[in-house]
Amino acid sequence: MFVAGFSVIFSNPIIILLIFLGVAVGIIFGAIPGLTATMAVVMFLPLTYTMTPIMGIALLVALYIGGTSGGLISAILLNIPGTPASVATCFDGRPMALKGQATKALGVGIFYSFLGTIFGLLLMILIAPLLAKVAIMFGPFEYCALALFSLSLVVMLTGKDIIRGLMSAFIGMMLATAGLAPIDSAKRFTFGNAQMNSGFQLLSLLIGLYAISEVLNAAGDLDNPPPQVYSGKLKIKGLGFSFKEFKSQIGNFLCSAIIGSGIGILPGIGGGTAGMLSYTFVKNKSKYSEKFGTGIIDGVVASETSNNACIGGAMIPLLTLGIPGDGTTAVLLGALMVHNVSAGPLIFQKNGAVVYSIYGTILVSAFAMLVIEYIGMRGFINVLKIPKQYLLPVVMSLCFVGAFGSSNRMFDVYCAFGFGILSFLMRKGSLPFPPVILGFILGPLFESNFRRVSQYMEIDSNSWESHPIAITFLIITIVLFTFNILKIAKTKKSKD
Amino acid sequence: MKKKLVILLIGSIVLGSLFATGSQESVVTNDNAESWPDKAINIVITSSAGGDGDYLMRLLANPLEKELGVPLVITNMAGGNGSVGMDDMMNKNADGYTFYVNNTCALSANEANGLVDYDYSVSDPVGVFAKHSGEMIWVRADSPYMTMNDLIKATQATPGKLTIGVSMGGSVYAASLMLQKAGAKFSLVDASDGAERIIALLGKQVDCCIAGYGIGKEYIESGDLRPLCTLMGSRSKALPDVPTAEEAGVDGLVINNLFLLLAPKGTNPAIIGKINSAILKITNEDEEYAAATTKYSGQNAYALNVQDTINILDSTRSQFMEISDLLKK
Repeated sequence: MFVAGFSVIFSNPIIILLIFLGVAVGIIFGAIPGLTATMAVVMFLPLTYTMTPIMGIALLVALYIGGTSGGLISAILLNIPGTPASVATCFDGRPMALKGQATKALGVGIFYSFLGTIFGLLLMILIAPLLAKVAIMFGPFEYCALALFSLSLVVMLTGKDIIRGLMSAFIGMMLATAGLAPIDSAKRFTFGNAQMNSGFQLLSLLIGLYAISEVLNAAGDLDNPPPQVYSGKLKIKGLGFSFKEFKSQIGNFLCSAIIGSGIGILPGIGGGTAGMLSYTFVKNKSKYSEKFGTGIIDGVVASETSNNACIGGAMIPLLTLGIPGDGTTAVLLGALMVHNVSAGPLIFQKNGAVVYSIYGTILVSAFAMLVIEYIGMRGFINVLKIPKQYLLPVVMSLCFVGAFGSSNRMFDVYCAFGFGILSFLMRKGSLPFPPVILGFILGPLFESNFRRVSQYMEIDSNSWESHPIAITFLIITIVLFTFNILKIAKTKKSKD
Repeated sequence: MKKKLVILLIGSIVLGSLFATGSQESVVTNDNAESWPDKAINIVITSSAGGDGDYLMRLLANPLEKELGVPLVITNMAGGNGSVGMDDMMNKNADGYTFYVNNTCALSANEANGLVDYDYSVSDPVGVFAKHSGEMIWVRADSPYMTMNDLIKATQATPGKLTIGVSMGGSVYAASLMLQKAGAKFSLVDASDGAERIIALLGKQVDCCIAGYGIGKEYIESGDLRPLCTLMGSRSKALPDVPTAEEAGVDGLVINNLFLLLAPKGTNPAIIGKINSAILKITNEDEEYAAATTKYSGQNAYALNVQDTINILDSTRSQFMEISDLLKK
């Protein structure tokens, strides 16, 4: 049945065409800041009603993959992440573009997105049921510990200026508290305004922090723009980077892929966090960690491998447990239901053909993404040539369309504006942006699970003993945290 | 000249993309029932994609589109157990082209636990269009509890030690409170939404949980979970051997959740009548739709006329308001 389902994809040219179409549209949605993979899937869902299940789902999965990978384009070229998953790609991708290595950055990003997707796919094929069992083992204790672990990595992300990093992280966490509290739905910071009940949207925050601040920055530089270095003739040799560089990145690739898929398997965390965690991890274990942020391929490798491996990871709980890992997979779940595929423990028995066709789709989508993005690279690079005063207004209006489109409310657009102003102030105060995003995502994750932990502890104060995974994470957190503090203190001492 | 052309091009792209989002408020307030509907109708689902209400509405939308003769544009506006969508509705023009999907329990529970300070009368009910697949009480297949009595006796033997996974504040929470009132001695633990509660049960985080049939049905087949009873007033068509909570001995524990369509207050009653008749017609006559509904939720296709809908809303509301003090704690 595996072969049958898998080959259905290849034998039908219409499906291949659909997949290419889906990936292309997905990339466009991903590349435009403000439009996300989720929106693409939601938009195309009604179109798939009249298609056969395999065709319809193939299209949606292709959109998902294209959407996640497309974000790297604007991250590298504009310093604005196209989707939340590509936040970490800005860290090194953008400096590389400024140094004139935009083609290399794009080439690396695209290729490792491809590799990351394939890695996630392999995991799905080989050990999906096993990983599903692991996902079930993660309860409030484990999530709590994981959230603490990830938040502690914020310290490592910001390196020397811990105070500022922590300030940013706390700003992110505080922003996330606005709205209805987890579990008891108490109203926090809603000021009696009904629209505040659902709190701030991640997309508004992302657009405000990255897109608007980038525009304000460019506006400030208009009188003396920094020199744009282009990579001369746009001839790309092969993939844009050498075989030697590829060999040097194998370790980084494996670490990031494992982290990415791991985060994907756990519902509720998402590609953006995966990218940032991988980036931080790779930076920490690197021999030349000071170079991170100046424009080296390691950073792009880490981020793009991870957020694409996250896709394969997120599909596992989606298919085997019926639990969506993030917003996009939630819509995919709905799509599966509409096409009469019951996601859950019996999916291999009941809808094996569809599952295997999804594997085939992911494989074809990965190749489609590779081909389309490499062909389009020339066009993408030309974006850099457009003078900022023409490019950025269009980017801005598309961002606002995106902010509006996520929940059909003008409120989100106003919020994006507000966050833009906040970002401007933060830039003046040299507060880094990435910890804000991490704090915003991980804060609620930690809080809701911590509350549940306290419920369990109230019932049985020894219940923590039966959670070895959580304890392990906590110990690793404490060890890493102390280690890093000491390292930073040492470098400060040696400076004096 | 070239620069002006470029600026014109940029300007049109910017304005074009902004207008592509459409205007929030309908410009036309012509609610002439005779010509209704003459353009696409918006349906806003007040829960997120993938849930019971979302799926059942989309299932209905296919035949409803054909019946009404205009496209139906379905969007989701989730949050606050439906209250975010309700807020949007209260600011909408009552022109008969935007409707909202909600469920009777969420409407009443939100008011009873103090999340909102209004009841269903801030809207004009259009009609119930489906039954929820039914909340059930689930245990793991390898647990020693074969009936509700077993379970409740076990909690009384070790008060506070057995955990039940619920979601604080809503109808599931109300159900668990009713269980406690009937003598059970659980410890209530929040385990997020339906799908998460099932996972918590599978992962041995809780001893039992309350979740919808739709979410857990796969696990009955795979042999991992067992439902002890259903909280609806009558047995589920898909599981005729599973007793209702009342039959199993828990008096007063009846939660019948129904999905309904709401219109902004002040919508032309003739328009409401038209769409309600269309829904009733499909429910009673469309066999394909009925089969698909039963396959998904284990319930018969079900719809009520406007007056019956209002009656159900009233009775559900009083049911929840009775335990309002308990819910508010």
